[in-house]
Amino acid sequence: MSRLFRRGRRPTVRYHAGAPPLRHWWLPYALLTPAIVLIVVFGVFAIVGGFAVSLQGERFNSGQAETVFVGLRNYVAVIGSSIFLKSVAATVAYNLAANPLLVGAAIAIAIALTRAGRMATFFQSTLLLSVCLSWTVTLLIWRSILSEGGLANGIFAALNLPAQPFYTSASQALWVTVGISAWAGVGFWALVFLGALKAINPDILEAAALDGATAVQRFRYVVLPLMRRTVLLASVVLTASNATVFVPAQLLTLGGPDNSTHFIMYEASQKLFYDGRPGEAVALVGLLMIVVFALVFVQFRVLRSDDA
Amino acid sequence: MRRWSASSVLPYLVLVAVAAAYLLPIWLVVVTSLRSPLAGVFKDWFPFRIEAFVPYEFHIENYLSLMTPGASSRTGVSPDYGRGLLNSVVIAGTTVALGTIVNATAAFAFSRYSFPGRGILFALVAASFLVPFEAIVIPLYTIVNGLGLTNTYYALILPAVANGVSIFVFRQFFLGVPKDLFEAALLDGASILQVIWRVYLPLTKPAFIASGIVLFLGQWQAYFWPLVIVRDHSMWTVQLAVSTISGMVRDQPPDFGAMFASAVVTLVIPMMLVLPLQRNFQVAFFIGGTHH
Repeated sequence: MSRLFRRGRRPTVRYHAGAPPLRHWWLPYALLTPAIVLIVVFGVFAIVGGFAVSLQGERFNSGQAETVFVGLRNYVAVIGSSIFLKSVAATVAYNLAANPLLVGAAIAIAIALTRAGRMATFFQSTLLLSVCLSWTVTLLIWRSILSEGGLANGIFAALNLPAQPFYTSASQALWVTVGISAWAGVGFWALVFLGALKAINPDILEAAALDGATAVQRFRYVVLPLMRRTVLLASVVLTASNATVFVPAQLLTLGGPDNSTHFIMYEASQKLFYDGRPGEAVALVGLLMIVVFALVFVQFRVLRSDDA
Repeated sequence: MRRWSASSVLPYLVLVAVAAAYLLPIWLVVVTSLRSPLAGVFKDWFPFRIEAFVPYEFHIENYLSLMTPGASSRTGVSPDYGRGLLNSVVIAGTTVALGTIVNATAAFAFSRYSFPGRGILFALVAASFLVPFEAIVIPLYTIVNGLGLTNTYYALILPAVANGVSIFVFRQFFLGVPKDLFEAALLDGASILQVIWRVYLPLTKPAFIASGIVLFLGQWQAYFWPLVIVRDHSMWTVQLAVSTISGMVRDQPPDFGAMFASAVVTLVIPMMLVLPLQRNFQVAFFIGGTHH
């Protein structure tokens, strides 16, 4: 704050560097106030409050449960719980499978769209359709199709193929979830990458082609580096959102079978609603977010180096 | 003579496969929702007949049962989908209205002024966009619960109003408007809000549309937060209604016909917004190319 109100003078607010200072210096701050207040209340306060809750637990004092400060007990309990490792394994496997798959498929589809000529608008509409899907509707659709007496097994039976358990099998459930998630998400990201591709100056590609570069070489050495920012964006957002995967576990697999899809966020919600342990739930989410931030930081370092 | 090389056909193969991957299941759901609920909506699914994809029946009972109390042909209980629809429309609409004002003014401040603290505040906005909502649901719940705001519109609307993506999009577009227009309008005596409304809005319409769609979809599709906050059917959102109807919630028997009908309606409503506004919405995706 000291820089803001230097020696009793108002903050120096200008339209842009080099312009004279504004008389109504409070303007940008006033414009920002609603948004910042909301973000602080529903973001920062939530996080800080959450941290406080994670340090609290319950103690029974002559028959009455009371909330007390317990330090790191919740964190220890969370890490030591039997389901912790399984949750971590499920979440890690899910992310390792889903993230590269989504990014790769989205880029491929985006490239295909740039080559589709006049049909592009039609195909883009189908992708926009996928943007309108919600987790609930998606899972409803695939739960029916992939159920024991569902369409998929019906087609398999007609083709004399063995029926598949899909999400009722401990070995298949996780991959089925990855597949469903990829199906739901790839449309949106393909459109994002399409935007990035369209922003590339065609002259650069033409120059490369004139220099004798093949399509694959042009992609590897010209297109991909220029899309680096978008790949970083996709990778960071997907890391954050797939690490907190919850809905498929809640609505499709109930964390199973055999805890194969017992994701970390699902475990946290179980702790909150069924075990009545909010302190541990928040501690678990907190640990998850620390890992996510570390990963995001690493991605920024790796993908943002030598930014043109 | 046209040369059909692998590289010219491959893109179309990919796109057709993707389009089929989306259109076939959705078409199947639409067709199945129109099947007679009494004869069984799944009759062509297993054993499989290709007629599963053919709309040879046109029963609207499934749709009617969503809206009429006590009309579900299977369970005899109203799925009360209509209530969820109403709530979601109110919530999404209010969020779009409030959010547009809040986010556009904030983005205007970021794009048109240079002031101390701008970097930090912008980093705060960017961080809010990176932190997934799921992560703060549980702590946010304890706050909202403590304030006694569970099961209210406030709790469902307010957290979603300030949106990092929306601010980004607005800022990107505002930066593209020549500064002279701004200064000229101010010289003419316009207030800031008038400038945004009269000068910037017409010039950056795609940003407003894109932001509106983002806010709308965010609220329409929200599931985890409403799940945590809503206590009874009077306040539930369309996604909660759908998941209850589909029997994904323990101890609620599923009415499959109504389930598919609800899926169709829940999908069609955002589509009615997004598809006509496609062109304007597309432009927002170019943010992918000019990020940060």
